[in-house]
Amino acid sequence: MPADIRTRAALAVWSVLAFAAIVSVPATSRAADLATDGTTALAPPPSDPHDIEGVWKPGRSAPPPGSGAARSGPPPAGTPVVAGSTLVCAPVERLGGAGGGMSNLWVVGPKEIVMISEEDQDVRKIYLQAHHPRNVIPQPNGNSIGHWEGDTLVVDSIAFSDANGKDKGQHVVERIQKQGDRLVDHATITTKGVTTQRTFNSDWRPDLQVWENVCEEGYSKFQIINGKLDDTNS
Amino acid sequence: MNSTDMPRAGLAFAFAGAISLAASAHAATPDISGPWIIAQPHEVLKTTDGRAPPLLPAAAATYAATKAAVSTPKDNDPDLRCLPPGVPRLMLQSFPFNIVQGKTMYAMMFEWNHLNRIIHLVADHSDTIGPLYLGQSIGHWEGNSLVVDTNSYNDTTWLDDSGLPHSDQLHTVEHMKLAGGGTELIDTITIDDPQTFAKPWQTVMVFRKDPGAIIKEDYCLGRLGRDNLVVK
Amino acid sequence: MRYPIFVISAVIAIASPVMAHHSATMFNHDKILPLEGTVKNWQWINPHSWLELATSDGKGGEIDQGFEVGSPNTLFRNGWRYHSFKPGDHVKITFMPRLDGKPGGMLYTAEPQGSTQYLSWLPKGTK
Repeated sequence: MPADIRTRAALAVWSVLAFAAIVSVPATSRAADLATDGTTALAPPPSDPHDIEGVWKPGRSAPPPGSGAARSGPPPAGTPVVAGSTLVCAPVERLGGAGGGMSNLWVVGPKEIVMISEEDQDVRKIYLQAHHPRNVIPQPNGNSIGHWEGDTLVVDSIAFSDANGKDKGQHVVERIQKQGDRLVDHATITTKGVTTQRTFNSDWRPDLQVWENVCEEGYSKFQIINGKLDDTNS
Repeated sequence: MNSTDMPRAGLAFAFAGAISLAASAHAATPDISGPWIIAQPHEVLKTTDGRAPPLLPAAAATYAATKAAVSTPKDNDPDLRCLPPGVPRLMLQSFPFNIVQGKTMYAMMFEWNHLNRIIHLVADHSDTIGPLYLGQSIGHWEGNSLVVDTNSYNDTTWLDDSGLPHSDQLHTVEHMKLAGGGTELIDTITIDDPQTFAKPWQTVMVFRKDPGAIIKEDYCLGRLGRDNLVVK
Repeated sequence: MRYPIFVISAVIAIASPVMAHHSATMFNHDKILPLEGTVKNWQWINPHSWLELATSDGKGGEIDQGFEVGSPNTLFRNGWRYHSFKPGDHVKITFMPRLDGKPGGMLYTAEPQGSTQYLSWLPKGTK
């Protein structure tokens, strides 16, 4: 083979391999989560239907029951908190995830899929196993197990606690599927024999990151003296 | 080299590179999912050679004042207000955590007040929203060690339960490796904070497997009985 | 951001009327007023960040006014930053005043010193 053709062939092969090497290393940086004007096109989600890892921002679906109630800052001095009231910064049920314009971070592992709500860092943990554990303790986000049926993640959740920590008898079956740039969650919620259907949509947002959101921070000005809070710092 | 050697050398080099990339893409990464819990809870961090950390004089004075205030009305332990304990203090608590190994990131899911640390599997840190209680972590594998590099810490947390201080210049590098046939996770952490310590120093945390543990939704303010608040 | 949420009961309704929706009861959304001042404090904090300004009282003296704004998570996406304001900076703001007439309010826009950036965080007409 003439020397110049060999050289060009070698350069061509080398270029292809070098290109493959460059595109296969991890990204050197993620989006810095700067404000976008909504006109820049976002990279689409991965094509694998089981790959739902990343940041998904809840859309216009109604907030889940139990959240979205009266929202205000720390109570002004002098406001008593009556026993039995819902508790400061306690985890809440997050079937749809975050509210307040914040997003959800899904991390997909081989044994477990987790959804972290940016709002208050509440978590949903979906164990990829066949059965709920025995003697599961009621908790705000219950106990969830999941498996794939084709392109659909089927999640079965029980043991949701009420404000007093007792099992409120709620059973939720969700069918979660990636549809283009949207994560669609059809939920069938049965509580003491009464069934409702809800749909939670969230949009693929590779331009966003999910940051810390520490609810207790609003109370950090308060000192704790003799088991009571005493605002001596402001 | 003459003009025919260089293309051949280049080809060989690129080919070798491609083979090693393919190999690393298919090599199994260690299963560090846990669940884990600190094997021997300890309140005071010591260096790997058993000494007290090398505090600078101003930081040593802060530490002394903090220790003197513990269990008095002036106790300023941020954990009494259920603020995040920071790193590595969060991992020193007697609460389990597990590690969800995703494709682009790992999530360390802690039971303590349902906190999490996300380890992004990328090469560089990004800008952050501001100083963070648990910092911003990036990670990569070096052989069987997961190397976690964390910065952008805020200065409100303690390094350990005794009140060991740090500044917002804190930078930590952890090497996490399985041991004991997979029954232990050993985390060697380098603490580098030129505003607090005379030089970087290391300590080792050993986590043991906590088989069958289900990470609960812990509610710190409720656990401390500080949920019903009277605001004066 | 989730704030203290009170169980609906007769006792609570009587005891804590302040737990109604924040923006509906505390601030006048029909008024957006301009103001200039010098930064005394900027707290990048949940659930509401907080900008404290020293402003003229109109009589040759000075009063401090506090303005609340969103959580860091929501502000960041509108270009606000942890370091947007430093004590001593001169800043021009617009704000929604308190309904009770006390100084302060809810921050609507800000022009940090030395910056052409015009920060706002709420869409117009937000209630």
